[in-house]
Amino acid sequence: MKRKRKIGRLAPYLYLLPTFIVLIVVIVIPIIYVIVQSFYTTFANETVFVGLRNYRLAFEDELLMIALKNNLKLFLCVPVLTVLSLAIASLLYNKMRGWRFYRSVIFIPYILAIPVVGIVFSYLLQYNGVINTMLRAAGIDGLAMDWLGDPNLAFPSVAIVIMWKQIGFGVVLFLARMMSIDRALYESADVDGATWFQKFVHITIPQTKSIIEFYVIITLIEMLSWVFNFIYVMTAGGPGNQTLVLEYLIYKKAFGGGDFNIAMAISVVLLVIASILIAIHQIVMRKED
Amino acid sequence: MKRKRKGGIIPQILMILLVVVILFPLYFMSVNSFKTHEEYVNNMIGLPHAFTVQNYVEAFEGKPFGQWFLNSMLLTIAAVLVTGILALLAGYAFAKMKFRGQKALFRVIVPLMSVPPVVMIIPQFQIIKIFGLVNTRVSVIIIYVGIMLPMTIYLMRNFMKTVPDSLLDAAKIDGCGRLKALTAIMMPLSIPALITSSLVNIVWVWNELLISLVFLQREELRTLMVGITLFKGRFTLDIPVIMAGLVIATVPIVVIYIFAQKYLVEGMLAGSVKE
Repeated sequence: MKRKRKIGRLAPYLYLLPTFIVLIVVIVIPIIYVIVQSFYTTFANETVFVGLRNYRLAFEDELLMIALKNNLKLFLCVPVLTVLSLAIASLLYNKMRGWRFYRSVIFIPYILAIPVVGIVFSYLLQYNGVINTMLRAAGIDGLAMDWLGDPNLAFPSVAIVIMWKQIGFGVVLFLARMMSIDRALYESADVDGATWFQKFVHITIPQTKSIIEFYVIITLIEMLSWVFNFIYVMTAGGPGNQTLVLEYLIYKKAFGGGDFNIAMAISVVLLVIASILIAIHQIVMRKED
Repeated sequence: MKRKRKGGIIPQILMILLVVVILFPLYFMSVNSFKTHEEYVNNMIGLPHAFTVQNYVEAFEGKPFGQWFLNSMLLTIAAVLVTGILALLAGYAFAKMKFRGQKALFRVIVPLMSVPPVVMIIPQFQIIKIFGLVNTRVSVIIIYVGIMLPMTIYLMRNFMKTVPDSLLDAAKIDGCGRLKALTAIMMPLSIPALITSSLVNIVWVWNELLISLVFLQREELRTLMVGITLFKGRFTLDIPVIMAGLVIATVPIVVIYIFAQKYLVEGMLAGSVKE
């Protein structure tokens, strides 16, 4: 009888055991390993402690700065996505004819595979691709450019493709929140003769504020930690490192150059920035409770 | 009172423009997959004059497309199934049991869903080497399970919390053990949450590129996503064949979206946002 109770007390841990084994092997040990190894280097099968050497080398390399700068530039997509999503969601919220159809269509890019999206857009944006063909047909040859090959255009082009893919998530998220706003708020505003814009600023925005906070943080995390596929498929960081981001730099250093330890130092840099965002995310999540 | 349908002609025009922008790349992909290469060069935008399915035949016969498709399918089914089972167990413990460290453990798991995968790849590679699992499906399945678990557990736990305790208590009075209570009561009730999170997971694994790119380098193990990125240039310069490949890679996801849109969207929203 006593033994049974002891097993009973252990039971929750047994339920969690498989999960924890997997998480420790797949996530926890790798993170610790990366942090530790970023202070070591391997020469001829011998691992030596080198202090901050890997970090020094990483920061002396202009590529890290370029990648950091590009990730920061990607953060500029976040306000654009937020405003666009809010605007589209509030249009749909007015229950315009066909709003359900529009909502379904706008969400489609979000579920598509990035390799598929990236390849299709590569063909659309090529110098002899569809977009330029259309521009030439419209007689504005001057606007026909090498969208992914031109150093000045590659980054904005990639950013637009990323936004094309991500926009649906924000729209559906904001729309779902707006639908749960108490209709009476709008009705009493209507009685007071409020304009569409006044209602948007004084009711919609305050009522969706906490969701907007979430969205901004989640999207920042995405722009930092989940853009590898776009870059890998569309530009490979080029032309001339114009679209190089941290994730791609780590991949290139490790699997292109074999600089594993420097790659791990850069990984720690990425991890630190990501941790700050994740921490803010957690704080905002708990504030909601 | 019937609510007035607001929004005049201008919002409609804006939305229609948006729909065109959203759907055009998909239209481009689908339409060109049914053209010959010669026709594609001269007619990139229009409908095919001479409709052909030769590109699809070519993708499956001339290229290892069938194999890639099967590989992706296998990884998806295995990883999503294992994730579902583990998340069911863990979610149950977090939602319905009391034990020391419960809150702390849960709080550790949740943020793990946002760790950038690229950071963990080098050590994962070393670990896989130690276990002698280089270029095996098992290694990739375990990594996928690890990456999907935090979000899946989060969803399962939140859902199970809403199941009233009285149901479980009643089962206990009837002499059910904990495991029995899970399989007989919790599991049937959790099916909607299980479906929702599994759909999100299926889409994620199917679309995943980085991990399969790094860990499955043997030709016969390649996944569809890695395959189509190699497709370009290495296998063919025939653009309609590439487009046919992209369509094949996209159809399963679109089918899920058409038939289970509500669940999938719900899951994707709930997975990133607190209830």
